[in-house]
Amino acid sequence: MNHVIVGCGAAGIAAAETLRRISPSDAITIISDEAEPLYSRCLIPYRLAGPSGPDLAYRDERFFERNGIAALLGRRAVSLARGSVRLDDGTSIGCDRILIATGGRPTLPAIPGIEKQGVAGFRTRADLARILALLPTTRRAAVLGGGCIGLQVAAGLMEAGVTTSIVIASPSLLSQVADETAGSLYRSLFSDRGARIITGVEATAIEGDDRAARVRLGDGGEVDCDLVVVAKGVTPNTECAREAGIRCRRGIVVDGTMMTSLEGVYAAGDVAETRDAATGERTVNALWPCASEQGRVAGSNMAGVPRDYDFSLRMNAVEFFGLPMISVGVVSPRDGGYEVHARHDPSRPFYRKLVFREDRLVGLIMAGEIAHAGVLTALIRKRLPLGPAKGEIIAGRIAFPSVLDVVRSNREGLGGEYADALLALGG
Amino acid sequence: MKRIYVAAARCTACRTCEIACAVEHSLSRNLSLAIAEEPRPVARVRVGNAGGRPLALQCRFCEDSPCVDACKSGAMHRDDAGAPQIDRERCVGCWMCIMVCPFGAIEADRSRKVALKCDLCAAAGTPVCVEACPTGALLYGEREEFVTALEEIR
Repeated sequence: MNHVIVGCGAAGIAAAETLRRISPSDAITIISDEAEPLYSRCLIPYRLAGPSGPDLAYRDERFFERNGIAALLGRRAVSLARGSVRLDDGTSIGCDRILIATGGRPTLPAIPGIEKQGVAGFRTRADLARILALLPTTRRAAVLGGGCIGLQVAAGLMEAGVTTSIVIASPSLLSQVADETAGSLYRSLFSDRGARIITGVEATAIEGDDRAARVRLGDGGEVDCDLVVVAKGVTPNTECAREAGIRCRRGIVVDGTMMTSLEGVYAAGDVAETRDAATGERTVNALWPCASEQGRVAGSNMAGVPRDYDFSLRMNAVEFFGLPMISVGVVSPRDGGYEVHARHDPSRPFYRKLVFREDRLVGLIMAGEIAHAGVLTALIRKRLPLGPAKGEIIAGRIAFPSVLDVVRSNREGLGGEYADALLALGG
Repeated sequence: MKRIYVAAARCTACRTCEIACAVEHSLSRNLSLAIAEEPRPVARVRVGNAGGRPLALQCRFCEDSPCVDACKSGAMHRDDAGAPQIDRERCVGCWMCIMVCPFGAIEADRSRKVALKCDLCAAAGTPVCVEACPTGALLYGEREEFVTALEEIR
């Protein structure tokens, strides 16, 4: 069997490793438009503050060699069809199975001046290099977007000594992943350290000569800056798939085996659209944990070992200025039918919000104290009916033993991670 | 792969395992010195309450480890035996593993900004929690050995 993986991020790497583990003799080719792709995108913000940040390498430099993978680096896949992938140098590769793991790219708003020097998205090592090269001539920066990435960039720039403004279209920080209470905790942390935070207003233009000099705001206001970092989400790289006639919505639609509408062609990671366990809706959960897991499941199916991918789940873990937060699933329910329990103690600080839908947990925010969060994440992910454990969870008893009975009584249909563990915990 | 198994019926919540684990993973590896260490040594095994009955719990070494999937730095990896382990040098303290561990078996060391979990005492013989357990509630071995032991306990 001959496999081609387009993309070398979390999903591509996980798929390749899984393929190799299951099928020692299959041919695997990875195509990446980056020359040195074996780094973690998520670690890039840690390097803004200086070279003392973490090593970006996600796998060692012998990864391809060790796994017997043919790597075509600095090459772009321009089109694909069942059984072949064509590259930007005109060559075609024949194959039995294809994985589209092309990820996404920063969504750049269509506003005047977005093409100016000093305006950058933030996703790749090349983006990092571009921004680091601009830092010596940057006194003030504007970050567009107040989500996890935007705040990571802002924190990094602040640590690097840059006066930073954050321009956020929503009324609060982290509005996609948290609620107003959690957002306001971080708002104080950032503004206490000198960040200017502008909420509820869009950037309408980037002004200046060749290089960005200020951001014009929807309310007529302005933010002077030498650098603009755009962190307003990612757009899935679906072009190849669309041209090949593969069914796409916002992302590439996949079935429970991560296969697209084209037989033998799979998709995983930030480009794939999956069903979210908390909302039940199809969505692109462009998140590292989802990408690795989807890559692993796709790789297994490509190798002929059937694996089901039931649900992805929106989840984020962040820490800014000493305050950690984990947020999962539905955290700001907009319609009725949800039961919300929230506890806030600003003195510690501690914030915990649990969102239930009937007998199921569908969302949580845990800020300040994050221990045992994964126990609850798994309940959301596996959509388990809670029974008497619901009261325990509301009372704050969330360590695994509190939910052992729930897991035991739903053991059928739960993943391998539980089966062994339940045995190991005395049956 | 050898794992730590828990014969829950034998656990009396004495928490000897927690102390042994914290000391083993302290700087001094000596109880009387470890209690004075700052930051305080952290146990990777915890005794919890399962419906009124005690249960000692540490990393379950899942086959489809969500923690390995979630780790964005590559710190959480599989060792040669396939067991998930943390390379502390690579850990950036992003807490993604804590977000996804279904057993809540990963601790955040907030002061050092690293995640901590059971490492089977680096597989140097029998883990200290198993050695220390005075009632034989913790067992270390292959699955079959545990199944046999469990039948005897019952």
